[in-house]
Amino acid sequence: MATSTLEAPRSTPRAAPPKRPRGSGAVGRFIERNGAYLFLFPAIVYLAIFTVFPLIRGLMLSFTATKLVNPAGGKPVGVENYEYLLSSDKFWTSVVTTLLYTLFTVVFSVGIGTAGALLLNTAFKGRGIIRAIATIPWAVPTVAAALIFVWIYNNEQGILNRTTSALGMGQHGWLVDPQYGLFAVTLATVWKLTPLVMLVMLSALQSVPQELREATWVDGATRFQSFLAVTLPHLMPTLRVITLLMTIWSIRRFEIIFLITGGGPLDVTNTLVVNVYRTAFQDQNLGRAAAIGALGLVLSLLVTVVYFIVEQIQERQESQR
Amino acid sequence: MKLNHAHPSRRARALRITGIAAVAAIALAGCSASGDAGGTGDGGDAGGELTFSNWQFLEDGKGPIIWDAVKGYTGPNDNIELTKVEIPFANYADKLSTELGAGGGPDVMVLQDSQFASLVDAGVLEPLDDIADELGDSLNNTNEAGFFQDGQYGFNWERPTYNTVIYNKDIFAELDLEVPTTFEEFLTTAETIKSELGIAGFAGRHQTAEIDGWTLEMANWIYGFGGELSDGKKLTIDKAENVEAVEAFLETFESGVAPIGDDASTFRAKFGQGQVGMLFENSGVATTITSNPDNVVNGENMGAAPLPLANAGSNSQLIIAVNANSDNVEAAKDFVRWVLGEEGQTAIRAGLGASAMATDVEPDAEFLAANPWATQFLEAAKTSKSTLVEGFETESKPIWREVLTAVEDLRVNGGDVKSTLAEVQKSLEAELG
Repeated sequence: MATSTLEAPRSTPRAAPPKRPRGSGAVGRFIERNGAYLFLFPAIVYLAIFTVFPLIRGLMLSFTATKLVNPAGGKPVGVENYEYLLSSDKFWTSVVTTLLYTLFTVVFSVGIGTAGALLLNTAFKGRGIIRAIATIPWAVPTVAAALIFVWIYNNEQGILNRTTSALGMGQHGWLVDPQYGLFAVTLATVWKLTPLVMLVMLSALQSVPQELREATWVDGATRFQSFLAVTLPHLMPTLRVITLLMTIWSIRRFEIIFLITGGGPLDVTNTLVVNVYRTAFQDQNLGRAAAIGALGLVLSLLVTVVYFIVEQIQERQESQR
Repeated sequence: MKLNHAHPSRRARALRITGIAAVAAIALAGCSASGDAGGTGDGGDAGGELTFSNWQFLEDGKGPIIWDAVKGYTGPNDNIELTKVEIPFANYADKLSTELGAGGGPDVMVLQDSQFASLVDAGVLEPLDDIADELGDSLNNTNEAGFFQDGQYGFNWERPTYNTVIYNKDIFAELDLEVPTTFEEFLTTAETIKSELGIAGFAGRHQTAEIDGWTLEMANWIYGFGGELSDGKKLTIDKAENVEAVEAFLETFESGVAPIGDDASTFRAKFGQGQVGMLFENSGVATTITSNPDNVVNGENMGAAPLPLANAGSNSQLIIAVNANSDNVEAAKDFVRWVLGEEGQTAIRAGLGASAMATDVEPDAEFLAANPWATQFLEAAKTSKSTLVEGFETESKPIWREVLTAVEDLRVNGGDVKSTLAEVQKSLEAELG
């Protein structure tokens, strides 16, 4: 078994490479040399058309005064759109709203989803049915989910106010009162997204080696200590990825907010994306909407950079253990 | 294998020829397809397909009637095929503005007036002055809505006016109530209904989440009190009549007679079920409510009366217009001529119920007999006004949004109406220059 490589007879002539089939000629050689690029080509074209071009076009638009109905006729205005936005209270309120919505959505859906996954990973009777039921919100179309919540939040007939009334807690203007607006859209979003987190975390949990956990129990560790020592480190990469994805998705989320509150009441749910929609399609100001989009992109990039820094730190800490 | 390698050049040649033949076939098929589609000529003579876009095609009841009314149109030479373009109302303005801005879009379309003004301003609508000259006296004054920037770019397709109060006759009879004629009477009547029956005396939009519909309703209040958002040259957001209108609106909702948080579809359904006493409503909705056989309120027990305010209210103005970038402009214009003619107007009338149309074509006698309330809407349409802000037509939406956000703020947080509207005035002046 030892050193088979060294002991291999060096003098044995190498087998001749298989002859290329005739007729492939220059095309065949070209494919052989550039095969990798050819395989990448469709993806590069796709990205160029659907990501890079719109991004560049959007950035160019943001430096013009372009109207929706005349997209080719926008005059250059330099950084005027950015100046306007950065000095506008409404824009900064929109940024704060986006950050709060993102924070609450991510914390609650990742927290509840992970807890649900841990629960559904334990053995109990009817687990399969409960797992199936728990995924239903994710399967419900967003428009339907939004309508369901509009009914739930209805002032007089809504089940939420009927329940709070029955419990002696009075009625609340969930979609009318600014103090509840952000809560209303966050709750609907968390309801919709938690099952996805749960499914992802459940699949991650099922890949944790059972023998490692059993070994910690043999060593006298409690269940909680075993969770901290074995399960959690296994879950961390998945948890980091799902948190990043949920964060970026929440910054970009539009439909559920727009359908439930339209950005109201009193702009308390006017996130950056809703603001882009209103500016582009209601005010028909494409240039300014593009500038909001560009600033939103900066926000997403910042979040991504923070994520990678955190990931680097954690990986370094894990490798030092 | 042998065969393949034996004659590589012949094979390559054969492949090349096959390829060229395939490309040629596809190209020919393409030419043939575009030829079939027709509509490339600049006159109706060319024939082909004419696309007509209208969100109403998707409305229950009304949509099929309207499509049935127009689908038989085949052009002056019997060679035009009309195709409907169905876009839901929620996306209609966005989708059409984007398409037209990009040089595409349907040949003929029905537009809201706010969208119409922006599209004229962008130069994407075909001037229709020649049709206006031809049809002259047969058109009524509602077609002035299609005259913008010194040209006729469209005509009245439908004017559903909000300048009317509709009420449940059974409730009024039960409580022995008179139809209100002033704001004070209106509020007292609504309070009586609320206190006596425990149901809403009145309902209306009051949230920026429904900003387009609320614009029409709030304009009703503002115009009803004699207010306006501009004098044609400068904004007049904080003028005394506007302040009075907003105060009256807030007083109505503060009084508890109107449900807070109900959207339009909810309170309209409630009215249909006899759970709301009065609405300031448009003719299209009144037609829909009374034509629903499941409703308690029907053509017989729904009453309609002038708005209980001193002046006429607002209307929702729908305009039929032609895409300047259409491949078939002349055919499209001919379709508009047909719509405005006696045949078209009579055919469409059935679908538009009690709304005012481009000509004074009377609703069907049977419809009027079953829906006596309808004549009030036809009368009210003559005096009602557009929500476009005069002199600031293309900026109407942002102006109304600022005003309505301020009204919502006042409703939720309270405050001084005059100073709040003065702040809006100042902010909009700074914004619009």
